[in-house]
Amino acid sequence: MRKGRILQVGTPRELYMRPKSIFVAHFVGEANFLEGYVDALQGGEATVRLRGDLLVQVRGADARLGERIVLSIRPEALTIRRGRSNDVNSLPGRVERVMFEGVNMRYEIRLDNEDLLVVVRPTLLGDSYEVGERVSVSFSPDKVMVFPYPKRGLRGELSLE
Amino acid sequence: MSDLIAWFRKRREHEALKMMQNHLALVVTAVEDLERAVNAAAEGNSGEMVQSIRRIEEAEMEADDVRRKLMIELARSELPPESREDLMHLVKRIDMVADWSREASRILEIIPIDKVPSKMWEACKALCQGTVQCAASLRRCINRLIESPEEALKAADDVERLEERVDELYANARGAFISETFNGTTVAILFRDLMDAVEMIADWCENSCDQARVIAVRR
Repeated sequence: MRKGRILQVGTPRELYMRPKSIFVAHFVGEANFLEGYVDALQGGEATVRLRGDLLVQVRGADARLGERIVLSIRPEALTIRRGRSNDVNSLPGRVERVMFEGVNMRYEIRLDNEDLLVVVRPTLLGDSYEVGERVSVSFSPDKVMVFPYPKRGLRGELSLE
Repeated sequence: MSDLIAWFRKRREHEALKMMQNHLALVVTAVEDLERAVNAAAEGNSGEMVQSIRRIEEAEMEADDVRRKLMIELARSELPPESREDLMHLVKRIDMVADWSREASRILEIIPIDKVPSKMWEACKALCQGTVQCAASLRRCINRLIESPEEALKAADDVERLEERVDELYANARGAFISETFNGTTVAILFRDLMDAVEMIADWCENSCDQARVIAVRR
């Protein structure tokens, strides 16, 4: 609910996995938001140009060419790898902060375009990374939720006020 | 380390910091879209140019909104008045970068793009590329200000160097106004205004970095 209005009704799983709005994606669990615009459309896939001319592929984007959109990605849907990677949807960056949370490690990655991504990985599985390390953050096109850019701006949309 | 930076280091999740970073991201979006609009205009692609201009308008309006809210946030925070003033000056200067991007886009939209010599478009594209680099370095400077003031100062030096490069490009482009033939004096005047506006973007990036330096060193 927001300001007395029901935004979405569904099971907890539906709300988490398929939120219908940016607000719900933010309110139920944690999410990274990347801003960009649709650079190309082909079949069911869209190429999205982020700040710094970083390009990513997403599916299910119901948007026009050139339209501003917001990509929402859960921190646990992101993977990290050392150094640069040429994989699809691989964004270069640097580890800015690392937090040990017991079951999980929480990494804040400053991308080369200066956007910030939060990545959560299981502590006991896979590699761990240090502050300052060069890494690539990747995600599958299926794991991205695509929303039209809100009229009141992203920050306004996320606000509870 | 300055008192302001020390204060924010203990409050990394402070709303004002998040808003400032968000504001700057929108400003960079406007500058990048201006470059795309100019590139599209140079290729004669008015459709893509208009799309980019609409995105600049949206980003600039949103940046204005975030700036207003940020001012309110700073006014009610428990920061010392001097630090508050320093931050307000920084935000205002950064906002000018978005304002000039929008001004440039307004001029671009009324220029008959087919009446501009290709050499002038090339000069304008080079200017825009320089401003994008300036804006990216400015963002790096501000994002590092709290965690690593040394890196922030280095990024501020980069902005200064890039701004000088933009100045040089602009000076050369002015010379081309003599050698190139415009299809109409009005077009030449408008194009000069456009290049002026683009150059102002780099100037305000530099001004913003000067304020960032003040914040980094003030006791």
